[in-house]
Amino acid sequence: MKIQEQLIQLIGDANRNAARELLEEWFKNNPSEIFFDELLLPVLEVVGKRYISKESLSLAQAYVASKFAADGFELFKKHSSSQPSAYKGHVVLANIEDDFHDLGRDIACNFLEADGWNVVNMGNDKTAEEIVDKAVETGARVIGVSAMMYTTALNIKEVRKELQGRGLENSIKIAVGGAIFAQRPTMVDEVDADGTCKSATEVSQLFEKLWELAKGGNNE
Amino acid sequence: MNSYERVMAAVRGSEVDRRPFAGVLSLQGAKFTKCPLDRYYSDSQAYIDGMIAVRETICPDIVHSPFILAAEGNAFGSEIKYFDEQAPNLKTPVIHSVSEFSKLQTPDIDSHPRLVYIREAVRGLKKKYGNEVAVAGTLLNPCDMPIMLMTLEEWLPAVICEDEAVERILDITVPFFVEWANTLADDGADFLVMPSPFTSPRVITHGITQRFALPVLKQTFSQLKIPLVLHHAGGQYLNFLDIFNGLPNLMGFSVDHTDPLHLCRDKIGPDTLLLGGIDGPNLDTLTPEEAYRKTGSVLLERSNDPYFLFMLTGPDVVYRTPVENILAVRRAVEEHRPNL
Repeated sequence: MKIQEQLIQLIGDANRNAARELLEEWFKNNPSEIFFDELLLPVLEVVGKRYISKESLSLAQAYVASKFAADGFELFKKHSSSQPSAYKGHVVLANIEDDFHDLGRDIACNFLEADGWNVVNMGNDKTAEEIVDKAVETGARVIGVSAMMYTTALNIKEVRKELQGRGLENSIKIAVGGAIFAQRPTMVDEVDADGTCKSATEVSQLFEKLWELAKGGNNE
Repeated sequence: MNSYERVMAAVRGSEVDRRPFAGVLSLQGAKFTKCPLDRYYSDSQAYIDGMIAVRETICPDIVHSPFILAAEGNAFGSEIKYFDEQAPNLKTPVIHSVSEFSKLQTPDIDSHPRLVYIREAVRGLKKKYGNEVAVAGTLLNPCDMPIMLMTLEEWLPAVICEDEAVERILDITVPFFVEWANTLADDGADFLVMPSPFTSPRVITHGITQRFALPVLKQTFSQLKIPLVLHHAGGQYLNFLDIFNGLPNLMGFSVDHTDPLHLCRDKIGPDTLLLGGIDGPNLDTLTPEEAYRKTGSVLLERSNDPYFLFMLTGPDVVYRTPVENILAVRRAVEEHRPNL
């Protein structure tokens, strides 16, 4: 079985240990420069299509897929003198105020970083003001805000208000994620966000789309 | 036929006058009695008064103990946060990794305030309703309890990587779970409802569930004094029904509104209680007419199923839900006559 298929199977089984071992073996026997184009991106593309199409990507599978990306990124940096060629810009991710469920956010950060974004992971329980401050400081055009529960997700409305108050709502876009957004389809509009995605494996595409929208907005 | 009789008839697959009706309606109780949630979720009499108000206004066939997923974690020492319009949830876990298992101290079921609050709620509801209304005790599935001790972020990787400390954690939480479940039975619960936010297809795989969860559940459920319902806790459950079907003392499954009920029935067989219905937490997004119609559709589909109980699915029906919407569901249930 080709290594790509083996890794896809291991991700499907949520077998992180074996996936890591396989990666380490691959880096011993292959030039690191081909990692992104020949291993990381093809594997994640198939994982995304195979499991999302069935709407059955569990958190465990997403976790192992993100660790595959993070482990691969770490091994790439260890084995290669060059940095990943893609640089897509700074993005800021945080759990909104009163929300402490960070696994999904960390998974998204791993995927974004592996796909060339410069990720600022702010952690849990951040106010809208803190999040927008960081976005302005780093030049981020996309903010990713996470919440698991309905009540904490409502706090995300403050991010829109903060952006509006500073005249930034056309130049910084809001992506949202978390269990509540899957359970309650109206939630994205209720918190006045710009988009969400069904699975963390699609997060980089979402951020690319929102980044382009922000680029077309007014500059501050 | 009173509510208790109606529920027990559905458990046995016997004839009923109408379908039993239930839902997680704790927040409605706080709303009806205008009780602030920090008091509602710490003062057992306030909670009992709320459930009485729910029974008098909405008239569900089951009343239940407080649906607080973080309750057992709080009893072990995790800090919880109260909200204005939702049940309290985990804020700071008592331990920060699975390797800190030696720091866990099993709470005293007779004296810890969080556990006493729940016990008094169960006793009070049983005293009020006796054999008139079924009383459900709620507690977390033993494989899920650790997420409220250390967060999902720590428990999931440990389970995935088969960390040896996982067993040390279960050595502590499993005996507590059995004692706690049986205490709720002794306090008057007629059956237990076990939300499974971790042991669900949304979080773990079929393989992890069979390897990790199934042996634990077989061992623990066989020690329970009263039967239990496994509750989907807000995610789809269909893909795990075959794994859990046949567990000791398992009375039934509460499934998600997106789980096709006919497929659920195929998986669990003809004579296991199936609890299903329309989406509870999003009921506020419907008009009463839509709620009535959707309820009617579910009831019609299950019309020939003797082991079916209509339940608003998911966790709490949210605070802001207009009572008219819930009453519309109730009216649809009352007007439907099952074809048994």
